Amino acid sequence: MGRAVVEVRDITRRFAHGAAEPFTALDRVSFEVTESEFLAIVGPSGCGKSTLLHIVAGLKRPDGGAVLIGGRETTGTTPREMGYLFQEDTVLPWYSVERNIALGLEYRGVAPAEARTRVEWALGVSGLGEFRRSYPHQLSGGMRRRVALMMTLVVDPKILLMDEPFGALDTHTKTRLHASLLEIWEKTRQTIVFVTHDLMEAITLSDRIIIMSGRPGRVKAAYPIRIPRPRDVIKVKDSEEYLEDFREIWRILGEEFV
Amino acid sequence: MGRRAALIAARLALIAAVLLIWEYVPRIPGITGWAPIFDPFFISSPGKIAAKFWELATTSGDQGVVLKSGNLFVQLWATLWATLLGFVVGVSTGFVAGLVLSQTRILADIVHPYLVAVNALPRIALVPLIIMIFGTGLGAKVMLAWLIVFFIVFFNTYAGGRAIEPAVLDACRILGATRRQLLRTVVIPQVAGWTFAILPLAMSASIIGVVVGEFVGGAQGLGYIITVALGQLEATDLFVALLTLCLVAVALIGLAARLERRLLHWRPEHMSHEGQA
Repeated sequence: MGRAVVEVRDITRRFAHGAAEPFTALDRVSFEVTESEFLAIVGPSGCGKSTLLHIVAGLKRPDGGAVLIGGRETTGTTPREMGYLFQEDTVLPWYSVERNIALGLEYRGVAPAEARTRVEWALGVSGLGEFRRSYPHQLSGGMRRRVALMMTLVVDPKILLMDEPFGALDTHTKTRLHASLLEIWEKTRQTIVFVTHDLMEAITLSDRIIIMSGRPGRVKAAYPIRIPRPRDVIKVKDSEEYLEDFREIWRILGEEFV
Repeated sequence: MGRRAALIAARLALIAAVLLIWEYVPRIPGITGWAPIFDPFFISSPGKIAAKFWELATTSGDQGVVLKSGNLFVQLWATLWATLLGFVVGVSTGFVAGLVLSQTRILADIVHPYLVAVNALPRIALVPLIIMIFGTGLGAKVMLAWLIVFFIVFFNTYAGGRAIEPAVLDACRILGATRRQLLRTVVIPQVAGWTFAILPLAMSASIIGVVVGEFVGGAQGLGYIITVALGQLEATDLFVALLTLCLVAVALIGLAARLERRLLHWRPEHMSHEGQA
């Protein structure tokens, strides 16, 4: 195992809903993610997994605990080497596909020649080349997700946080995006934390799955996925390992539904 | 015959029918006895209106009973110029105010109830005050147009500024955007989009403001002609002014709609206020 790139230590987060009793959304959540690991976090809705990701990204502050990135405490701040794919559509409708993808490079002041090379790479690996001058409203939901993914990948983040990024898509489109994501990731090998409620998705993509319990959100179990890579996102669902993992995690997760 | 040709034919037939009824029904003997609305004294006639329109459009000076200060184009120009000024000033100030207030929470919280109160007040009620301050010239007309246009543009722009998806701002911040870059690439395009979408409406509001200004305190313009025509009971002149105003309004609102479509080329067609040409 490589070294821990992301360390989440005893994160606690409480919410006060108006006059109602404040409830604990996250209760002393701890886990580590090693370099180049693809970690998935699954759990019932309302278990605080999106909040957890927001805290890791420094978008929200925890009420207790700490986040360490590369061994340095970053709680409440966003390190530069971090990328984040939101579940919301964050593609800017007034810019073309090309301009959207180039946005992060523009923000970071990357030299034009270098930026051009990277945008060309992004358009190439995502299959968006022929849509480079299209506007987002002219694209399908799946295509817009590809643009959002490339917007985050083009700045070459070492750590990529993904918050139910394909949640709103149909199964077919989702599967194609899984294939693209794995194909790109096999080469770039970011450390990924992928939040989802879709267990099939988690097993198909990840190296390890953290299963969370519902309110308050706690780490219930961690389950390694040993399906060899590179994986074929369609064939993998038919393999013995996959079905075995699915049954086992489903059993653990199922306890949360009663 | 194609669908489009049939449509045009139907439209022409409709206007021809209206004009024929307007021209010939009043000639039926005794009709004004039971239907006074058909009295040419009130409604003039298409023939007379067309002749008068042509006369005023092609000659200059004092032919008309009503049009004393120059020909139709002088009046038209006065209305047009005031409308464009009111539109430009109203849109730009409304945009800036909407942008600033939507991005400065505290400021918005302070002034919002007052803006709502002024907006609730019928702007026409302010006409006497404006005339008292600005007199009866161009200033008063533009001021009145501004008062209406500003609020329409301001409220829409403000709503646009408040409707920015927090995830979009967070995503761009994580990508490395500074405050200034965020303003330039996210906030201003978003807010301007909501401003552009309201341009045709802002233009018709500007026309309303100017014409009302001309009704009450004008010395020039199509609204002024309408009131003078009323005073002299000159139905033909009144219709000439209305016809001209209608042409001006269609042209100006069409211009604003074109501007909107041009500026919002990135937006899906169905979101546009003016979906078809």
